[in-house]
Amino acid sequence: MERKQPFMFFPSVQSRILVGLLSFTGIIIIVFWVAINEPARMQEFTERTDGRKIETGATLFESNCSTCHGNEGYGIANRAPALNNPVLFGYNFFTEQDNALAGIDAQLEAVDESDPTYTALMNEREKVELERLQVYDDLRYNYGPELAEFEAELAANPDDAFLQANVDGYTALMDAHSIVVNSRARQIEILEEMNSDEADLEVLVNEKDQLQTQIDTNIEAREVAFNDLVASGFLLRPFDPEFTPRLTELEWSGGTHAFIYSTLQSGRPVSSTYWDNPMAAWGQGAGGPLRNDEIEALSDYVMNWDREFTREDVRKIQQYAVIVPECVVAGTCAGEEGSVVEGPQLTDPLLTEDQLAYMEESMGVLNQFVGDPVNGQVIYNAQGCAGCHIVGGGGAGPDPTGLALRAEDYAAEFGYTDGSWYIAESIIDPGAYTVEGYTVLMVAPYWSDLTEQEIADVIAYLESFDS
Amino acid sequence: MSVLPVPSILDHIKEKGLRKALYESVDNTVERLTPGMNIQDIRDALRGDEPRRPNPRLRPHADGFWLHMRPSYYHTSVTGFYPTLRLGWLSTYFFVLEIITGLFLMIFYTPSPDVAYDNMQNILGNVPMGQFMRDLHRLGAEGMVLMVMLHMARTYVTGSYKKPRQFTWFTGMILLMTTLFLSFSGYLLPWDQLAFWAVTIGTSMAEAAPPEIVGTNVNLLLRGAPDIGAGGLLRFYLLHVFALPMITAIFLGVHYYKVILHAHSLPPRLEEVGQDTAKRAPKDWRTYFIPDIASNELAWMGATTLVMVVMVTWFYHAPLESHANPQVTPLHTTAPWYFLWLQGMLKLGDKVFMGIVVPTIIFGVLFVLPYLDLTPSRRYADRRVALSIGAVTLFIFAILQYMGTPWYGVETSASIEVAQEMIPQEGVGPVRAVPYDEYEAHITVTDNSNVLWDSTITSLKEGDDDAIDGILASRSLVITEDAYFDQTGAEITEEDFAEEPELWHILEEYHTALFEEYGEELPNAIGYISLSQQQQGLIRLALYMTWDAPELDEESKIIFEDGEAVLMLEEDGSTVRDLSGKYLYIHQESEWHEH
Repeated sequence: MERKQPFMFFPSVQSRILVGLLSFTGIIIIVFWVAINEPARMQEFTERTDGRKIETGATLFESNCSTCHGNEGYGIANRAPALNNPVLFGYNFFTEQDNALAGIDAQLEAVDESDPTYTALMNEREKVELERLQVYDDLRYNYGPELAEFEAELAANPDDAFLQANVDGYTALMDAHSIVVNSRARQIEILEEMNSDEADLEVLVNEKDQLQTQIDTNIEAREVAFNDLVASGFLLRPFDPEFTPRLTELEWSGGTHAFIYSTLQSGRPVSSTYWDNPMAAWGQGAGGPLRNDEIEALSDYVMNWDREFTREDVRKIQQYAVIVPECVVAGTCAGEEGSVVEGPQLTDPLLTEDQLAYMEESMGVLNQFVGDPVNGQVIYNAQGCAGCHIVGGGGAGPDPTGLALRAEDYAAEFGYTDGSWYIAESIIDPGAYTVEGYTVLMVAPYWSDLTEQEIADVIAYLESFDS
Repeated sequence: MSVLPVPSILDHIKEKGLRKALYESVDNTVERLTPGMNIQDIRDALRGDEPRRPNPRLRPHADGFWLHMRPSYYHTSVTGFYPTLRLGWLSTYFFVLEIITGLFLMIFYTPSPDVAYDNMQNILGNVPMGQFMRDLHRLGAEGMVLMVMLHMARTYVTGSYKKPRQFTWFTGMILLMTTLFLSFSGYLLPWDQLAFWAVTIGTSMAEAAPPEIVGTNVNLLLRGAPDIGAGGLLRFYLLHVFALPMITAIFLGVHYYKVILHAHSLPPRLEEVGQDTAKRAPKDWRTYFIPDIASNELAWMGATTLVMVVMVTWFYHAPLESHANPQVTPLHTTAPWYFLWLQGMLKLGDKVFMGIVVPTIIFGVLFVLPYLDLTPSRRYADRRVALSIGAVTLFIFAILQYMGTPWYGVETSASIEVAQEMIPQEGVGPVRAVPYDEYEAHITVTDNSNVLWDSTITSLKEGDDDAIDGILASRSLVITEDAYFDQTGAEITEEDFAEEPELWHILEEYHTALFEEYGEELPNAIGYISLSQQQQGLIRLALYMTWDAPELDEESKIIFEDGEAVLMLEEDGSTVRDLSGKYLYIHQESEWHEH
C-alpha cells in the first residue's frame, strides 16, 4: 500500500501554535475595540430606537386617533380635544419675561429707593411687564394674519349674511388692537430712552401717560368687539394665554408622558359625559386593541408635539379639552337641571339616504356570505371594536360575551330572522336599536370601511364568543 | 524532624531549597491536573520532541475525563484536511460557542410575550457587548446548522456510514435533528415578526399531522394553546435552553465514543473492500492526539473564532424586525433558510402529504440509510449509484429551496409589489435608506391642509378619477416614464438633486420598478412621492402610483393581448384610473440608512 503524507494547511505543531496565538491576539484586539466603542454604539442604538418609536406612533396615530383628534393633532370641534396643544404640555409663553421679572425683583430687593439704580430698575421692570402684555395680546387678540383669508372668503361669498354681520366687529377688533400694540411699543421705546442721560424725562413721562389713556380706551373697545365676535360664534375657541395647564387642572401629579400613556391605556370613561365618543381604553391590559409598546410609541409621538408654541399654532387648534363638571366627579349630577352636559341622544345617527340604501342592499346580500371567525377577530381588533366592547363588560359599548345569545332574544322580540341579522344591523346602522343603559357612540365610518364579507366575518367572530 | 507538627512544603524547602521545592510542587500539580504530563512532558510535546517512555502523552486519555472520549492516536491517513474537512470538529465547536453565548443572553432574557421584545432591545441598546454576543449566537447557529449538514453530506459521499459505523451515522442523524430544532426553537425567542410568522408556519405543519386528533394535540403540546402565545413562547424557550441542548450533549457523547470505538474510516484505497483496518494503524503511521491533533483542533478553533468575531464586528448583525403581531401577516413570510425546501414543497401540494408524509419519509430513509445500503465498498468507483442519487437529491433540494422563496408562486398585485419594494414592511428598503436631511430639502407640501392623508386618498378614489393625477401632481415629486417633475410642474434633473443623491436615487429606483419591472401590469403609470413635515424632526412620506386599470379575467389575472394589457373602459370609452400607495413617517434620529 502506498503511503502518502496527507495534506494539511499547517503541517507542523509550531505553525499551528502560531496560528492559534495570532488568532487569539486578533480576537483580543477586536473585542477590545468593540468594547471601547460600546457606550457610543448603545447610545446611538437607543436614539435610533426612540426615533423609530415616534415613527411607529405616528403611523398608529394616523390610523387610530386622527379620526377624532385630527391628522395634525389639533383636535376636531365637538369631537375630541387637541393634543398638539400648549395647554396639554403646560407651555409657558412668558418664560422670557417671567425670568426677567424675577431677576429684576431679586435686584430690587437688594436696593432701596434712594439708590441711583432704583429708578432704572423700576423702568426696566415696567418695560418687561409691557413686553409681557404684548405677548399676551398677540396670542389672544391678534387675528391680523387671518384677515386676508377672511376678506377672500367674503369676496367669494358677498351675500353671506353671517360674514357680513361680522365685518364691522372684525375691523373694530383689529383697529383697536393695532392701536394698543403700537402705543405700547412706543411706551417701551420711551422707557428705553429714559435711561439715557440726555433724556428730557418730563416730556417722555407726559407722552407715556398720554399713550396710556389711548391704550385704556382702546383696550375697552377691543374687549367689546372681541366678546361680540365670540358671542356671535365668529371667533371660535378664544385662547387664554394664562391658561391652567391641563395636568394641573386634573391634579395629575406625574409627568405629561405618564399622563398620555395612562389616558391611552385606560381611556377616559368620564369623557362620555361631554363627548359623543368617549376616549376608549386602548391598552390591551384594559381590554383595548393596542400592546404596551404601541401605547408607548403613541405617547412618544404625542410628546414630540411639545415645542415652542406660537400664535399660528394656537389659531389652528380646533378644540380644547373640557373641564369635568364637578358634579360628575361627585356623582350628583342626576336631576340637577343644566348642570351636566348631556350625552348625545341620537335616534337615527349620521345616516344619509345613500347610506341607508347601501345598508338595505348589504342586509339583502349578507346571508350569501359565510363568515370566517378568525378573520373576523383580525377585523374586530383592527377596527378598534375591542376598545369599547370590553370583554367582561364595563366598556362604552355592550359586552361582546353573550352577545349572540342576547341577539337571539332581541331577534325574537323585534321579529328579525335570527340573531345574526340583529348583529348585522347593529354594525351597519348602530343607531337602529340602542341597548338600555348605553348611548349610540359607534361611529358610522366603521361599516363603510367593511365589505359584506368582512361584516359576515365579524359576525362569525362575535358568535364564536358563546360557542 | 518536620518544621511544623505535620509534614508540609516547608520540609521540602528545608531539604531541597526554595527554588527546587517550588518547581517540584508546581510540576506535581501540573501532572495531577493534565493528568499524567509534567511540565517537561508538555514542553517536549510543544517542541515536537519524542516522548519519554512510558509515553506520558497517553495518560490523559486513560486517566483524564475530557480526553477519555478522544482516541489517543489517529491513523495518519485521516489527519489531513481531506477527508474530514474538519466539519465534525467545527460542529462541536459551534455547539460550545452557542452554549457560551447563549448563557450570556439568558441572563438578559425573560420568555414572556410582554417583555421578550423589550429584552431584545435592551440587549441591543443597554447591555455592553450585548449586540456582539447576540450576533455571535445567531451567526454561530447558522454556522452550526451549515457545518452539521455538510458533515452529513461528507459522510455520505465518502461512504463512512457503512459497517461498522452504522450507529455513528444514526446518532449523527439525531444530532442533525436536534441542531435543526435548536436553531428553529431559537427563532421564536426574540418575539419579532420574523420569529412569530416563521414559527407559526413551522408549527402549522405539526397541526396537519394525521389523524386529526394527533395533529391537534401535537399542535397544542408545542404551542401551549391553539395559537402561539405566552404558553408557546415558554415551551419553545424550554426546548431551546434545556431539552434540546441536553439531548444534543448526550448524543454528542455517544457520537464521540463511537469514534474511539471504530476510529475514522480510512481512505478506501488503503484497505481491501469489506475490511476495516482503521483501528490497526502501524506504529509508524500513527498521529498522536497530543500534540498533533490537539494543536490542530485548537488552531482551527482559534481561526474560526477570529473569523466569527470579524464577521459580527463588521459584516453581520442578527436581524430584529418589529414586534410580533398576530394581526399583521407580513407580505412575504419565509421559513428559515434550512427549511425553505419544505416551504417549497408545501407550494406543490397538500399540507399533510408534502408537509408531513414526505419529510417523514426523507428523514426516515436518512436515519436508516446504513441499514438499507449494505454494499461494503467505500470506493467512489463502486458507489456510482449512491453518488448519483446524492447529486440528484442535492439538485432537487436546490430547486425546492428556490421554490420556497417568495419569488416562486406567490402572487400579489403589481402595485403592492412596487410599494413593498420601495417601502418593505420589515427592514430598511430604498425609501427609508435616504437620509432625513435630503427629504427635508425637498418638502413638497408646505401647507399641511394639503397633505395627502389616507382619508384624502380614500375620497380621491371615490371621486372623479380624472382629477386624481392633477391633485397628486401638485403635491408630489412626479415620476413619469420620460421625465421627473416637482410639485410646481417644473421638470427636475439629477443636477437639481446634486446635494441629495440618495433621494434622486430612489426616484430612479421607483422609475425602474414602475416602468421596467412592473410596466406591463401597470400601463401608463405615474409615480408620486409626497413629502410633508408632520412634527419637528418627523417627515411624512406618501408614495402613490396611478395607472390605467387593466381588464381582469375570472382568476383576477390581467388579460394581455399582443403583450399589452387590455384596458378597462368606462361607458364613455375613457380609461379607468387606478390608485394605490403607502405612507410612512421618517424621524430625524432613526437613521435607517445606517442599519
